Amino acid sequence: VTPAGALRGFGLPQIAWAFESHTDMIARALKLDPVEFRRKNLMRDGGQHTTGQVLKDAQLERVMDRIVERMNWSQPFDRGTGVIRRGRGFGIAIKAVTTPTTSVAIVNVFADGSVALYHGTIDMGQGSDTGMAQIVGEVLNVPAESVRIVQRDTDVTPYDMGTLGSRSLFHMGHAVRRAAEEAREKLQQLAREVGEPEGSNTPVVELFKKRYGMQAGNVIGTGIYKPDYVPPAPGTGMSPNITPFWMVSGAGAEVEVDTETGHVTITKLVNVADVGKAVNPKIVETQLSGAALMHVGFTMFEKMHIDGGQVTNASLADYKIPGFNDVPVSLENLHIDAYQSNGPFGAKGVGEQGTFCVSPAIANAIDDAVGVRLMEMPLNAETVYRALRASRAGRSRMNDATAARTITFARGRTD
Amino acid sequence: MMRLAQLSLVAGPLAGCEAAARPAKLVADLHGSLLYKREPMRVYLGARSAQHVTAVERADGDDSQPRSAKVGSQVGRSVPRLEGRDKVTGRAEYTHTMRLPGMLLAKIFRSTVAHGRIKSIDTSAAKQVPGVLHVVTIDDVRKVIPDPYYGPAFHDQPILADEKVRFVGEPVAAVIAADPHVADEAVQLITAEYEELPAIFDEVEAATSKVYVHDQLKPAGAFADLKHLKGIKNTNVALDYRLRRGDFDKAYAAAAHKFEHEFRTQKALHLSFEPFATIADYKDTGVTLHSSSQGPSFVRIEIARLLGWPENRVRIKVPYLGSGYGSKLYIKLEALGARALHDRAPTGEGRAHHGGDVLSDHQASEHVPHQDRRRQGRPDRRAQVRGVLERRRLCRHRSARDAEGGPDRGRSPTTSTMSGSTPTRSTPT
Repeated sequence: VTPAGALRGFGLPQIAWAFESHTDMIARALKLDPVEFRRKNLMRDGGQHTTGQVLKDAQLERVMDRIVERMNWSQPFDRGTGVIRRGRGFGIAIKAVTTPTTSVAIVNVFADGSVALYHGTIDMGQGSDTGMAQIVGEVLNVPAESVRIVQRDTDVTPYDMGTLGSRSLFHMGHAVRRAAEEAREKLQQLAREVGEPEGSNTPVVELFKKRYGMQAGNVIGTGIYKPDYVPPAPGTGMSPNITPFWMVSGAGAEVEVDTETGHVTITKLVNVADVGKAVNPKIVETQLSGAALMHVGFTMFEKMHIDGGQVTNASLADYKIPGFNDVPVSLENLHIDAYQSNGPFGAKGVGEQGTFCVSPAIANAIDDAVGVRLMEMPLNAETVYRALRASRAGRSRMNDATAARTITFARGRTD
Repeated sequence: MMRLAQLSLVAGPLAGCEAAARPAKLVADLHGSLLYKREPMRVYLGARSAQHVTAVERADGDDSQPRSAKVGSQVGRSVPRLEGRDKVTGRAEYTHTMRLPGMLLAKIFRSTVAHGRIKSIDTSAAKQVPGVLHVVTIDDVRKVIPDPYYGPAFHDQPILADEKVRFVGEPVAAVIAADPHVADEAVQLITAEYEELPAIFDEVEAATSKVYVHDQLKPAGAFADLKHLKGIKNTNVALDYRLRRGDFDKAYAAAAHKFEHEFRTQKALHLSFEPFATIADYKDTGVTLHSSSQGPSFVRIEIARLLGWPENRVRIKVPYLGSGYGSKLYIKLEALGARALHDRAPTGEGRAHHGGDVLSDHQASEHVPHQDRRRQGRPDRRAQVRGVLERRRLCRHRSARDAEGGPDRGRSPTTSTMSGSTPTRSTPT
């Protein structure tokens, strides 16, 4: 039994699935280009979010522009005429971060000038240790690779609210930055205490030797961060400051739909995010691709079957997650060049962003390809096939394609 | 094979500190690990001076190397993952593969009904299995933890099922043994009888249903926006946030085009490759929990609260996680681990009946000074209990439903680390 609970994206992918499908359906019904329809209605910096907060450092339009560019949206698109039909779709969303939450960090400079970082963010594969080491390295001007990350131990590593909701790089990043800055100030103070002149540039080890007569001692810097926040007003839910930053992410998908079987192949998936300044561009890319592929699974086939409260497909044989064959033929994971003005070195969270719009982008692309609208996930071959059968447009396309041939439906992974 | 890689290290003095002006070198040790050839960190006093800035062009297209000094040398670099080599060579540590000396294991007996009143739990056969040290139910939990309810948003989850079960898979009893196979076997011998109660399986239905999951709401305090729900009864609604802005009805009535669509999502699973695992290591000075947790600070606070101890006696250690995706947040197995550690010293009666031999092996071990054991009049050994949720068969038991048709041994449902039982989504996360 796995505990029910928060899952990467924490509600936003489900909401985006609804509103980005809904938006697409409106655009189609009004015979408007889905991209232009969104451009007309998109929130921009300086505009007010529904909760009352003024949007800042949320690059929605630039994210959309980048996707449109990578999708060649303005170019003619071959939708096919035979069994295989092609379509393309798009989605964009923003998300607030869990707040207000607290992070604490400690930076320890040893007497030889080497550095250790004590912090409570859990590295569970997202690369946070590397990112935090880069922040320490940035402040103390040492290579990130030389920073020792102390393993999480609550007797040693100070308080952190939790590794969740894309909060760590922003909250813990600030705490780490402050800890490193305090260590730097103390080192400068030490230099003055031991009589170093202005303009000197002394190895740290020499300072400790002068101060303690040998290679001994430590310099400890601490940092705490908790962002400002105004709780939502009772009754209306409004607040001028509901989140310290916005995550912005969009996806564009191109699909091929086999009208005989309902099988959908994702031929192209473009994920673009505004992550502020990318502390580590390679990790940003892998975070986006990991999140997006996870949601390819949720979108296309993952589903827990439950009978009387008992999960009936509780094995990796019966509950399939994406494998290499499910990776889109072309997968792009990009971030725009941006800067989060209140973030540590301009950065903000990235862990969830790739999850936002994979589902609606694919559903919108399927509609574009075969004219059927799927409103229940997962979008597996059976679902698509049934929807094709149920819709007049879909039926005519199937009939065109298959003529009198018998349809053999491969159940494959759908159950 | 010694590999030398030139690393162009930047020496931009950012308000005071700077590395050596000379480029540092990345060298590989004999095992192939990349190490920095140590260049002394320097402290610069005074205003920034051009002579301290050594801008080094990075190789074209390779941003794994440090950039020029202007925007800082570290932020914006694609530094390869620090722990990457340890992980791909199998040297990184995970709770799930961790073993401590003298470690015991707990296996969990779980509910197979979604909602029911517990009429009886029979653990007698399980206790007879050679090698079983203890079988724990909520009555044993209460001896140590009088109020055994925990959780981040609401204190609504008992460490083991208390009078009622509220979802399929809810822990009802735990078997503790040194050998996981012994524990597994013993769990199969536990039986429970339930009076089944109406259950709800749909979160939308739950909002208006007369079937209530919890008797009353008990906000935990970690979330400010839930505090006002304290003591509310007859509801499954755990969050009542409302957003009200403008006059939707009026605008909608006047709209030229109206669109209403309903979308559905399925239940999906985090499916971390590393299962949930907790090891509790008890000493009189405090407890150490090794746990696959995304939030050790919260676990520390919650375990201290449950045990009535100060925070400084509870220590949570977390190695790398084989992912979490949110599933390992707040507190999961740790509460049971904290309870189970109290079985470090099974009662004399328990020891006489079972498990004495296993225990005595460890009594002779070096963990505890001899006189301590004598003083306490019981085997005080370092006991580590590990809750393991490996893929295993859900034990058979005689529920009220099964009792009608007789226990169907061939039909016993299976569960594993990846089977999430979520009879209702009203449980906040």
